[in-house]
Amino acid sequence: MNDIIIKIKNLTKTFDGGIIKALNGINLEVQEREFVAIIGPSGCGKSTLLNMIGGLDMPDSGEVFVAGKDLLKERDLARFRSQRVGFIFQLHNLIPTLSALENVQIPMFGSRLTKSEAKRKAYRLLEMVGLEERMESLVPQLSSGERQRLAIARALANSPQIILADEPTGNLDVQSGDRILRLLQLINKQEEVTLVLVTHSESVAKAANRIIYMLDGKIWEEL
Amino acid sequence: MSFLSLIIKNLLRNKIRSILTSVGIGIGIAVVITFLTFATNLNQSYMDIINRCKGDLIVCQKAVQDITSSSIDQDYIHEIKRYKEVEKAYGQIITNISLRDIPSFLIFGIDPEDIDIYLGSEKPTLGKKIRHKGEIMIGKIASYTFRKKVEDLMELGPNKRFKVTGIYETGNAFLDSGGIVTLRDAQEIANLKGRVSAIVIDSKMDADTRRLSSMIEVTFPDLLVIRSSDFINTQKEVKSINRFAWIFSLLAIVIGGIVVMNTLIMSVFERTREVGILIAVGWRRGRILKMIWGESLILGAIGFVIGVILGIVGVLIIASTSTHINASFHLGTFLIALSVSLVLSIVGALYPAYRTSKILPAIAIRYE
Repeated sequence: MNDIIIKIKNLTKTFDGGIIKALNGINLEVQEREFVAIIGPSGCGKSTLLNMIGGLDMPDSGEVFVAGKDLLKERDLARFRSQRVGFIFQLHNLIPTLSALENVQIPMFGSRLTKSEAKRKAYRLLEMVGLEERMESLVPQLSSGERQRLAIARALANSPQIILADEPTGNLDVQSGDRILRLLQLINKQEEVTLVLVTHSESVAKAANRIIYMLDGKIWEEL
Repeated sequence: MSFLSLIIKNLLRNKIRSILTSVGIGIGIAVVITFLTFATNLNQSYMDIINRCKGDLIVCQKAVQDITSSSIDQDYIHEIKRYKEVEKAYGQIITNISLRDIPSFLIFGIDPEDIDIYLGSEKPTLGKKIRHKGEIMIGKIASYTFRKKVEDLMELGPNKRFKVTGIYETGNAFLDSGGIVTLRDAQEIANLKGRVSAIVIDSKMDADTRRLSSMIEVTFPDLLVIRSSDFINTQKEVKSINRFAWIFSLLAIVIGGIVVMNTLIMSVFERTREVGILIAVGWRRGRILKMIWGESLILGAIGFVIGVILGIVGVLIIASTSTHINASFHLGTFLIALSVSLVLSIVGALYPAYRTSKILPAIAIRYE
């Protein structure tokens, strides 16, 4: 049995002065090295939950413990985000004026790596996602699938314990989407990284070991 | 990739905007350099003349705009010489006349025996010093302007012909663009018979100059006694020019600040999502702010270089069209311009930095 790396208790979050209840009493535990998919329709609160786990947003009430940190009390969330978690977004969110290699190095600013160490590590990560030959290419020169693989490499830049992926295949064709999912599975196993993936697609969710269904800000079912 | 190269790449995203911003700052800096250079040169030229006079006190007419408008009775010289504190007192005339195409020609009138006051112990560059009525020495700039050489005749008004005895070069724009005649000739030219513009007092070694000033002012209520070191501050025309230079410089600074702020605000607005991403990948807000300050400082530095070039060119062009203005540059002016570009960079980035510090990452990463 692995240790629990994410523990969420009675999490609530509202928007627009309480009119929209995005999260309505969420309780969740994720073990280390698990690959969890959170599935649900648009607006069910799955991305909000992911933001809470990644320390990008704060709940109205409840508790969030991630990688041994109580995020509500954590003073240095930037350090937490830099070292403990890596994000992958649907729209990849890369910096268009930088090359693939430079995009991977962006999270390494502020780490203890020297410039040459950071460059070597970024190259190794690009090799892992099969983009080493495109390392000098600018983002607009890459295909959608390549951009998402680049976003995965960037998420791994600081060797995080957890990767949070928000609809990582949402913008890709089936073939590219499958390749991304296989890559994520590989990373989960080889790099021993905990993966939390948010999707509205059942076929994508099936890539995970555990599937959590969300509806109206609540966990509805777990498989 | 270094942090600096990231900042430079950010600026290169929109090259035209970055260039225009730097040019905007540059114009502001150029205005500062041009106006402050002229104001400084004007002050220095004035002070140089006062220093050449080698007096402790200057006596002139009360409540006049500046020394060229002052007119006091020449007999005061003898009255003032009677004070035991006075070592030497002499009168001089500084007057401004218009000559054909030249709107302003400064004439300095002094007794030939006191001529060294203006020229020091050096001889004129060409020719000799004035000795008699009807003679004039002209500065090098004036000799170019009026195309006059030694022995030429120069007309300073109807039936006022002067023989050029010498041409001098002092480095002082006022003196070098003007001419020196005898006190009596100057009085005739300025229609000030029996009067002088000012009396210079050289007091004795341990004289109480403050007491001497008070005594003269009490005895002769129409006179104003000014310490030589304070003289520049009493010249209303100089003060107006200084004020004018600073007002224009401040205006240029404000416009430059708005240009920088506008560019950085647009840049930050356009990159809202990117800022959210940087926060998401673990960048501290301080590092993001440093990036914005860095962009601003580089824009300011390029603007400073452009401003220095434009400023120097501007000063040289304007100086070439004016006889009274030196085109000499001062380190202090460039240091002020550098400070201005730094302040513009820092102040211009204030609001964009504030805006960045308020960005919520969860919202920013979905920003369209």
